[in-house]
Amino acid sequence: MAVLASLAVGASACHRGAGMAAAAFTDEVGRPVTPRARPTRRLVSLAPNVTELLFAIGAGDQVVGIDRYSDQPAGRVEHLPSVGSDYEPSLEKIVGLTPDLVLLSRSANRRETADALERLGVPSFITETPAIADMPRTMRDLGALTGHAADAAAQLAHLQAGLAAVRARVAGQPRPRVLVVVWPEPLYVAGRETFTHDLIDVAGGQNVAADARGYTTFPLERVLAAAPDVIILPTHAASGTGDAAAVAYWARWPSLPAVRDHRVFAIEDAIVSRPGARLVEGAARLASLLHPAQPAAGAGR
Amino acid sequence: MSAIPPSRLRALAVMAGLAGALVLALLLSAAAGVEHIDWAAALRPDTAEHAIVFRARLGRALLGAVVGASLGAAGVAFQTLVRNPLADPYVLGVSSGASVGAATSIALGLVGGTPIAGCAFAGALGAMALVYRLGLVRGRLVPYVALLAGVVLNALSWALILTIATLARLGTTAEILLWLMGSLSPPAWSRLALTAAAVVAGVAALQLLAPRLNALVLGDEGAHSVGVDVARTRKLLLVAASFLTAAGVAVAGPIGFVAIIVPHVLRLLVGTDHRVLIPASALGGALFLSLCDTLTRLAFVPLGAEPPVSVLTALLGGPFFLVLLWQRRGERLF
Repeated sequence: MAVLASLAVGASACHRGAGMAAAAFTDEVGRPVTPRARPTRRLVSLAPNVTELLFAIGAGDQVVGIDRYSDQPAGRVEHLPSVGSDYEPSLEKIVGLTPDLVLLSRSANRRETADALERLGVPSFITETPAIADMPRTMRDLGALTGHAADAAAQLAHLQAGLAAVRARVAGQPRPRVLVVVWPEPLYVAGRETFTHDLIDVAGGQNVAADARGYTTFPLERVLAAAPDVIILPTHAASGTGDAAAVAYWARWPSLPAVRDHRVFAIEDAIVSRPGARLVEGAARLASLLHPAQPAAGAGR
Repeated sequence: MSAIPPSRLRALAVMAGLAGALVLALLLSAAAGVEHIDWAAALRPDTAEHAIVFRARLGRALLGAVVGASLGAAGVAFQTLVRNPLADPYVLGVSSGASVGAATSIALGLVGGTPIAGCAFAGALGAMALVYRLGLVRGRLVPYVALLAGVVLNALSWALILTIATLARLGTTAEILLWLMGSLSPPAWSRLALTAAAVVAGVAALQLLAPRLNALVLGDEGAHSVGVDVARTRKLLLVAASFLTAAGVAVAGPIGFVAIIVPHVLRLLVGTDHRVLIPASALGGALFLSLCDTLTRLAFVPLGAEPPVSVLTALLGGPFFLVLLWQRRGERLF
C-alpha cells in the first residue's frame, strides 16, 4: 500500500514539473497520467473501441484485461479476463491484474471509475474520440503509451488511406439522403457530431437528420417530409436475430422512398458507431449500401 | 355558477364537453406539428403529407386517446378497489410486470414494437395473476394484502429489470430505459385497433360493475346490506382494471400521473357515481393524454428533442391538481 501511495504522490509531483522528458502524459480530457512503466507492459482496456485499437497497433499482447463488451478482434480477446461492465467495472479485479495503465473512453466509461482507480494508485488514461477527425490523436496517444508509436502511425495511415479509397469510390455520385435509426419507438436517430454521421459522409450519403445533434429523438413527421432514400438500422441484437423484424417495422411507411425501393438495411452497430479499428469496413459497407451500382467490397446483409 | 343543475344534467354536460374537447384535441393534433403541410397534398393518399397528417400525427394522438382512456378508467377502479385516493394502476404491479416483459424482449433482441408490446402485455397479466393469487385470503380478495403484494412485486421487478439491463449488451440498457420512460409512437393500424378493442372491452366491463362499485364505497358491510357480493366484485374489478391497464401500458410503456389526476378531477366535476365517473374518466384520460402528447411533439421545436410524454403529464397535471387541491381544501376528495 505504501508503494502504491508513493507512486500516486510521485505521479502528481511529476506533473507539477510538467514538460520534462520524464514527465507524465496528459490524457485526452486533460488529466496528467504517469504509467507505472514506460512503455506500458500490462494494460487493462475498459472500452471496446480502445481494445480494438490496441490490437490494431500491435499492443494486443500487452492487454491483460478487458471490459465485458470488448468483443473484437474476434478470436484474440475471448481468453482475456473480463473486469466487468464499462459503467461499473470491478475495481478489485482491475487492481488484481496489476496493470501499468488502465485505458478508458470518455463516452463508454465514467469519470468516477478513473477517480476511484487513482485513489487505489492505479494510473488511468481517458481517451476521447467523438469523431473520425479525433482518430489520429487517439491512435497516436495509444501508440506513444504502449511503445508502438511507429505501428500506430502505420495503422493510422492505413485507416486514412482506406477511408480515402471509399471516398474516391463514391466521388461524383449523387449523394442519397440517409436516415440512421438508432431506435424506432420512441424514434432516436444519429444526428451530426456522431461517428455514424461522419461515416455516412465518407460513404457518399447525406444525413437527413444533420440538423439534430448527437443520438437524439427526432419527429417522425420530419422523417416523412425529408423522404430518405436509404434507412440504416444499426443493430446489436445477438447474431442479428432481430434484424428482419427491425427492417419489417418500416413497411408501415410506404411513402418513404427507402421503404418503396427496399433500401432499409440492418447493419452491425459496432462497425458504424465505434471509434475502433474497423472504421474502413464500416465505411465500405455503408458505401456498398448507398451506392450499390459501384464496384464495392463487402456487400450488405 | 350560482344555479347548480341537477347532478344528472351536469354529468351529461360534462361528458358532452369532454367528448367535444377530445374531438377538438384530435383535430389539433392533426393540424399541429413541426413540418409545414400542403393540405391539398395531404388529402391524396400515398403522399408524405398524407402519412404525416393521418398517421404520424392523428394515429399517434388516437393511440394517446386510447391509452389515456385505459389509464383514466383504470385509475377510478383501483382507487375504489383499495379505497385509497393515492392508488394508481401501477401500484399493484401491472406496469412492473409489463416492464419486465419489455426488458426481456429488448434484451433478447425481439425488437420492433409488436414483440415488445406482446411481451409487456404478457408480463402485465402475469403480475396481475400473481397479485390476485397472493391477495386471496381464504378465498376472499383482501385489498391491503393485494396492495402489499403489489408493492413488493414492484420492488422485485425493478431488481429484475436492473439485472437484465446489467447483463445485457452495451446499448441495450439505454433501450430498456427508453421503454421505461413511457412514450407514444405512431402505431400500425392493426395495433391501434387491437388496443382500442381491448380498452373498450375493459371500460365496458368496469361500466357493468359500476353499480357495485358505488356499493363498495359504502364499505364492506354497507355493500353487503344492499345485496352486493363484495368478494366476487373485488375479484372481477381487479381482473378488469388490470387487463385495461395492461392494454395501455403494453403499447406506451408506463406513463405516469394520468391515472391519479384524471379520476380526482372528474370526481370534483361529476361526483362519485361510478356509472358516470368511469366513462367520464375514460374520456378525460383520453383528452388529457392526447393533448399532452401533441405538446410533446411541438416541444421539439424549442428543445431540439422530444421529451417523453410522462414529463408533460406530470408537468401540466401536477400544478393543475395542486391548484384544485388548494381551492377545494377542506372538502372531501374521495
